This record gives sequence, structure tokens and C-alpha cells, in this order.
Amino acid sequence: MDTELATAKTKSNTFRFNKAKKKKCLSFLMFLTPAFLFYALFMLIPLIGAVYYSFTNWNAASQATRFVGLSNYIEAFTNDPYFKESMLLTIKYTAIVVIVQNVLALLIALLIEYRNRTRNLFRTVFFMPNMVSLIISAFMWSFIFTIVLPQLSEYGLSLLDQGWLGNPDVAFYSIIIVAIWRGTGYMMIIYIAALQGVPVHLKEAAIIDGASSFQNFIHVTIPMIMHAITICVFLTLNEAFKVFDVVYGLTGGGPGRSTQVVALNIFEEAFSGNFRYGYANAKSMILFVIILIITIVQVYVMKGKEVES
Amino acid sequence: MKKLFMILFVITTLVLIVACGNDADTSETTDEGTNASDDVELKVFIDQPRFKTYYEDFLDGFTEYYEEENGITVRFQLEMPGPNEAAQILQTRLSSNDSPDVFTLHALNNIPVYDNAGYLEDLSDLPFVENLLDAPLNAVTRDEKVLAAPLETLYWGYLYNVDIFEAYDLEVPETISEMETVVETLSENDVTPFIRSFQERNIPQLFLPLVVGALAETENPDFFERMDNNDASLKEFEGFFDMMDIQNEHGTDRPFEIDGAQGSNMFANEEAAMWVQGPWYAESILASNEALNFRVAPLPINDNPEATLINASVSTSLAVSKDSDHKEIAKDLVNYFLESEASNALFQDLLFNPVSTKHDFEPFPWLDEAMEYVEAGRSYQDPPIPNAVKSESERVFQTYLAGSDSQDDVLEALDRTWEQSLALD
Repeated sequence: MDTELATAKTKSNTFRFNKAKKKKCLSFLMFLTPAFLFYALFMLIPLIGAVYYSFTNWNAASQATRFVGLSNYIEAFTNDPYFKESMLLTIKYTAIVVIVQNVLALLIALLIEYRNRTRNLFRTVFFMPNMVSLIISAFMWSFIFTIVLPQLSEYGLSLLDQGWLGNPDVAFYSIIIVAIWRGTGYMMIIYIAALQGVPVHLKEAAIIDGASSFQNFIHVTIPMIMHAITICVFLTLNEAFKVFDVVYGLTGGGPGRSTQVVALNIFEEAFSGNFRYGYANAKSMILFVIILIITIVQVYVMKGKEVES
Repeated sequence: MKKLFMILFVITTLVLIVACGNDADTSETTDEGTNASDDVELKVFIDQPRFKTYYEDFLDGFTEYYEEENGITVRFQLEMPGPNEAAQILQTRLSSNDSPDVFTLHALNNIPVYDNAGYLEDLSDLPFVENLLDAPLNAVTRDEKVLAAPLETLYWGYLYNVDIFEAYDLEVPETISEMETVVETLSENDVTPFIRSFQERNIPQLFLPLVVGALAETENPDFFERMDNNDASLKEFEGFFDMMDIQNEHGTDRPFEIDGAQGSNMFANEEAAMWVQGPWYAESILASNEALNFRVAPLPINDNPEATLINASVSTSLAVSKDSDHKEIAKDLVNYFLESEASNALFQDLLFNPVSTKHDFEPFPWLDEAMEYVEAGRSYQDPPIPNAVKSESERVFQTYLAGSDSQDDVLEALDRTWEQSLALD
């Protein structure tokens, strides 16, 4: 009798518990649905379409589209030297941008943190490039590179007399300059926020133990802002791999193909020449998978190094 | 949870399908609506934004004319993207069934492709056809059907500054050796021979039709036929790069930072004596320097004076979409472009050459020499090089001119693209 009552009680309990859980779940879904609908409409469904088209020979001109299996992927890996070159260039670009941007952003964040009175001013100044649309800043810089710098070089600064955008060897670095000029401010804001979250008592304890300010930075500050580093490296890595607009605005991938990054290579495959939409889709799938793998590995590795005070 | 997500997904797809279905429905009803009333909207796509005001005025004129004649008010939705994006935009529109009623295309490059894809309406019955001059008529005819109305005809090679040539007693060179002498004389007198404006990729690209066109006409008449059968190579053309090299060695500074507009400005300010460029820059040259005395001349390719020919081509032409809902009005509009009284004024405003016997104005002064060549039979029709090969040449010529690719690399890349473009059909 007692046991029966007990089981009945637990039953009603679990029932109540389930009901509460269901209600919670429902409200969760209701909040999620609008966002999910838009996400599905504009991201998921096109993505599925892109996967499908990557297996076809679709080009915009002919109306007959054939299923070609894996041949697009095979071609991208074996018989497309430009794709390979652009991939290598993108990797080089990513490596430089990720390192320089993060080091520079952290450095600026530290310097700004040490200032008392002009802190707000500098924060705004460094963040400002981020508020200009990228394509506009690209045009602005191409004006600087082609007109302002050559003019300045006439006043004794002969170092500035370069084919900034016209020389294939220099153009790549011009692009990096603009990308860093623009991206650093945003990372700097994240680093500033993280630096402010470093507990003062840890730093003081380290000072009392006789740590120099450099040791303090390496052994206290860096571990404490590791989560910010994870985010910033993730963001820069992701952005750098997909870079398109800076290159498009500054050099258009030229001269020739000397600054053609992967995204631009895909764009040109689809929208110029033979208009091979299907093949371009296959290449963007490859790019997607590469970015996915690299960022997952990066986040996994760096998450492991984060600590909490 | 999984179930719920499945349900959500199904709902999303349903919403999508319903939304798409609705779209089709509404567009049908609006069609009926327009047929009932006397108000028609034509979508017109012209890839020459620099002439916007002229085209707008011309279309306004058509609206007036048509209202008087037929009592139908035609409104226009005019779309004028820049020439760099135009092909992409048009291609996307056509393939997504959002085709403009009337659109411009390049007669020689695009008519075969778009006709194969079934986008072009046959215009053979329109009155303008009978009055067309022979050269433009041939260019817009395919399988004995007239598929477009020619607007812009081009007679080109390179531009030279007559005053500079006269100042140093120079004759227009008939062979590449003579060209070298000209370049030498100019350099000795501290005049830069050539404008180099390679920032815009389609400018160095011009060498491709110039060299291939002239050499195929004189030395290699069955080249295109064999190329279509995968049985030829651009390597057959000896001296393919000779003229390009001469220009590149004797040109103005910073070529990869100078675009067409800056180039025309420099040419107008007499910074160099020659510019490998077509007369389609005449307007912007004259805008910088109205008094500039320049002419179009045929570019020498080798030491055979018979290969020094004018490239005659029909570029911008008007076509009517097969999917148009207002075909008849669209056709009337195309006809109006060539047959009406306003046509003369339009062609003169746009600095186009006469294409029809209805046009009774003089060609431009810079074309008089070129026209003499054409009348003497010293011209060839712009060669049928696939679009993909032209855009590939934009890239590889830039790379070559920047000194990174060898001549063999360039020709191999072009051969490869040509082969690929054949494999597509």
C-alpha cells in the first residue's frame, strides 16, 4: 500500500516535472523560431542548394544542367593551378594577418590601458577604421597608394615610390596594410575588455612575489585573457580565409593573378570567363570545409589553454 | 526535441514553397492587369551608363511617339550597369527568368551563346533590317536570322596624335619595322611613344583580337575552324607578342595604376604619341582636350604590310528577349532605335558610326583614315574569340606585362581556356 502510494507520487512528480520541462522547451522554441526561419531561408537552404549544384555542370548560359558527380572536386584538386595558387596565397595572407593583427591589437590595447586621461580618445581613434565600409576604405587607400604616396616620394621620401598596387610583389603587402589598418581596432576593443577583467589582486600578488612587469604580463595577464585570444584568433582566422572585398577593391586580384585570393578565384570562376557556377560551388564547398576544420581545431586547442581565476 | 526540429524544418520548407507559389500567382495577375489597361512597362537593359541622359531622352521620345501612334503609354524601367558587371547581371537575369524585355549585347561575342540558349527573338521581319549597311548586317545575322539591331560599330586599331607625328615628320607605319623607326624617332626627341594603361584589365586584352584577327586573316584563314575542332593552337602565330613588347618597352610609367579614364586624359594632354585603344574613348579624350587632333590607324603586327588591317566590329546591339511579355512593343522600340528620325540625333550624340542608310551624317574626323582602309578592303571582322578566352587573356596578359609569366605560359593558358569553353556546349 505504502509503496503503491509512493510510486504514484513519484509518477505525478515526474509528470509535473515533464510538463514544466515541456513548457520551457516550448518557450525556448518560440523564441528561436523567427531567427531560425530567417537563418534557414537565407543560409541553410542556399547552402543545401550550393552543395547540390557543386555536383553539376551548371553554367548560367545553357539551360541544360547535368549531374557530373565528383568531377568538379577532382578537377579542383588535380587540374586547376590557379585555384591552388590562390589557396597558397590565402594561407600566406591568413598567417600574416592573424599574427600581426592580434599582436598589434593586444599591444595597442595594453598601451591604451596604461593611459588614464586620453584612453577614450585613443580607443575611438583606433576603432574608427572599422566604421568605414570596407569597400570604401579600399577605394580610399587605392587613392593613397596611387596618388598620395608617389607625390610624397617627391619630397625626399624615396622609399614611398613603389608600385604599391601595380607591382605584383608589393601589391600583396599593400593589401595586408589595409586589412590590418581596418581589422586591428575591432580586436583591440575585445582585448581591452578582457584586460579590464584581469583581477587586480593576482597582479598585486605577483608584484609582491617579486615578478617584473614583463613576467607579470606573461604569467598572469596572458593566461587570464586567453578566452579573448581564442575569440580574436577565431575571428581573424575566419575573416582572413574568406577575404574578398579588400582585394577586390584594391587590386581586383591583379596585376594578372598575383593577388588573387581564393574567394576572388571562386567569384571569377562563377561570374566571368566560362560562367561555371557548378564548379565554383564545388570550390566554395572546399573552402568551407577547410575553414571549418581549421577553426574547429583552433578553438579546441585554445579552449584547452584557458584558465579561470 | 529532434521531432520538434523536424517539424520546424518542414514548416520552413512549406512556407518557402507557398511563398514561391504565391509569387508566380501575383506576377500572372499583374500581367493581365497591364494588358487590360493602356499602360505598359518595358524593362530595358543597356550597359552604357555613361550615355544615361541620351538614352533616357530617347526613350521619352519613344513614349510620346508611341502614345500618339498606338494610344499605349509605355513606361520604362531602365537598368544601366557598368560594362564590367553588365555581363554578369544580364546572365543572372536571363537564367533566373527575370529577363529584361530589351537588352544590349555584344553582337559578335554574345549572339551565338545567347541564341543557342534560346534567349533571342528573331527580328528579321522588322523594317530596319532592309536599310542596314552590309558590315553591321552580317555581324547580327546568324543562320539567316537577324537576331539584334546593331548600335555601335567599331573601326579600330590604335590611336595616334597627328600633331606629334607631323612635328617629327612621321608617316603612319605600315609594318612593324616602320613602327620601330617611329618609336625610335619619338624616343630620341623625348616623346614617350605609347600610353600604357593596364590597370583596367580589358585594355591589354585588346591585343588578342588585334593580333589574332590580323594574323588569321592573312596567314591562317582556317584557324578558327581548326580551333573549334581542338586541332589548333595560338602558338601557331609567330610574333604574337612583338607589338605588345614594343609598346610595353616604350610606354608611360606606372602602367598598372593607370585606368582607361586616366589613360585618355594623358593621351589628351599629349603625354604620349600613341595609345593602343579604340575610338570608343574619343568622347572622354575630347572632354579633356577638345582641340586634340588624333586618328585611328591599323596596328602593324609583323613585316607584312597586308596584315596591317583595321578591326571592324559590331559591339553593342539591341536584342529582344524571347520571354518578353510585350514582344511587339519591344520590337517596335528596337525598330525605333534605327528607323525613326530621332535615330540620327541619337547616333550623333553617342558618337556612333552610321549603320543604316537612314543615317545621313558624316563619320567622325578621327575615323576618316580608318574608313579609307575599310573602303579599300583593308579590314577584317572582329575574330570570334570565345568570351572566356578574352577574360582569361585579361589576366594572363597583365601577368605577362608585369613580367611574371613567359610567352609560352600565356599561350598555353589561352589554349586551355579555349578548349574548356568548347567543352561547355
